[in-house]
This record gives sequence, C-alpha cells and structure tokens, in this order.
Amino acid sequence: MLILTRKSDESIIIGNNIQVKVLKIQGNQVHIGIDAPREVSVYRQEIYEQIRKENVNAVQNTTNVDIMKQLEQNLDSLKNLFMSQSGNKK
Amino acid sequence: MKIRRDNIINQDSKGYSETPYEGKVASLLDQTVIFNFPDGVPAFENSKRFVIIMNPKIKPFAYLKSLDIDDLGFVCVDPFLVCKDYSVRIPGKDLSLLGLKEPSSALLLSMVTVEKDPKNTTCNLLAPIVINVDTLTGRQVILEENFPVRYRIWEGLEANEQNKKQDKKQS
Repeated sequence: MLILTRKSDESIIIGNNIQVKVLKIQGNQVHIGIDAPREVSVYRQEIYEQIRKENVNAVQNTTNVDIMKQLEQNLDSLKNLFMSQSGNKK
Repeated sequence: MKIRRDNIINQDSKGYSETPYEGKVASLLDQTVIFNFPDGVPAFENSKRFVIIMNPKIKPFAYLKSLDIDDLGFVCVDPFLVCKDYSVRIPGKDLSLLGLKEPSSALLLSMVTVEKDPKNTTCNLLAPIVINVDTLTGRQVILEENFPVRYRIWEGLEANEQNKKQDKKQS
C-alpha cells in the first residue's frame, strides 16, 4: 500500500480525474472530500461490504427444481400474509 | 430525487385494470425484457444482464435472474408493499448513471434473503434495485439514508396492519 502524509487542506490525485482532499482533522475523525467523475462510485467501505455480503446471502439458485420448491414453501406463509393485507384494502 | 409509493403510482392510466404502476410493472415482468446493469451488483459485478420473472406461486415476490452467471438469481419484492412509508432519495450520481429523470420511470425492487423461518426472512431496504423502465437500465443503489440491510418482512407487514387499525380508530 502506498502511504502518503497529508495535512489539512492538502490533496492527492488518483489517475488524472480523482481528487481526494483532507478537509479537517478532529480528534480521531478525518473529513475527506472526494471529487470523482460521475461514473465512479464512492462508498464507505463497511457499508459496501455489508451490501456485498447480503447479496451473497440472498443468492438463490433459480434453475434447480428442488431448491425452487423449497423456496416456494419458505415464502408461502409470507405470501399469505401479503394476501390478507391486500384483501383488507378493498 | 425522492421516490415514494404515491409518486410512482399516481400516473395516468394506459388502460390497465390495476393501478398504472402495477400495469407498467406487469408489462416488464416478462422474461423477454432484458435489463442492463452496467456495473452488475456488488459481489456479482460480472452479471450485467438480468430478467425479472413473475411466478404466481410466489407472488408478490418475483425472481431477478442473471443471464450472465449461471444459477445466479435473487428473490425480490416491491419494498413499498413491505414498508408503507418507505421513501428513498436516489443520489445524483445514481440518477445520472441510470439516466433517470422522473420518479414515474423508476421501478424499485428490494432483494430478499429467504430463511426457513418466515419470520426471519428479510429484505434489503438500504440498497434497492432501481430500474429505469424507459431505458431498461438498472443498478443496485446504496442509499445515504439510514435504512436496514436486513428488514424483517414479517414485522413490516405486522406494523402495516397495526397502523391500519390505528387509522381506522382515528377516522
């Protein structure tokens, strides 16, 4: 990992179009400003990891007949709960 | 851009018997409509094309199935059904990546993590799948609001029920 030392108000440039600037240092918190092109997504790492992990958890093999049957069963009671709600609406 | 249940539904009807939104969604839930996800979804960045498959056996859930990775599929649900006052603000970056100009072009789906015990089955309210139905482009948007990644659907539905009872009492 490349390690650079920066003070408040100093920046680094990544490639030719991403700027990362240290805005303020306050105790153990650092405020960082990021200028990046629109197509570059920027996330807090722990949140991105959480989404990745949950996507992996959510994967269903939709081509396996047995797994699908099991899935349908697991969704059944929730499905009915939805049905009873939409039924009450009318 | 703010997307709520009502600003999606209150569009002019095109002759669908149900609400226009449901009609619009229904017309897309056909295996022949391919949605492009230029960035894939986190953890499956190589899966760039998906179809939505409606199966009456699991309605109102639907399948989001990858065309690029064999066996990759997800169960999805309309988050507004699960959480009546769900309201999301789509970050500008995502709007421009999706080419989304108005809420009525957006289709929101929440990925479901199915558990054996239905009470533990959750949906992801923090990172909904947002599809621009005009361009058929989609991406998983990580919201800046504080929504749970694992929202128990069962509890959500029970809360809806409670609210309804309270509304009745008040009126």
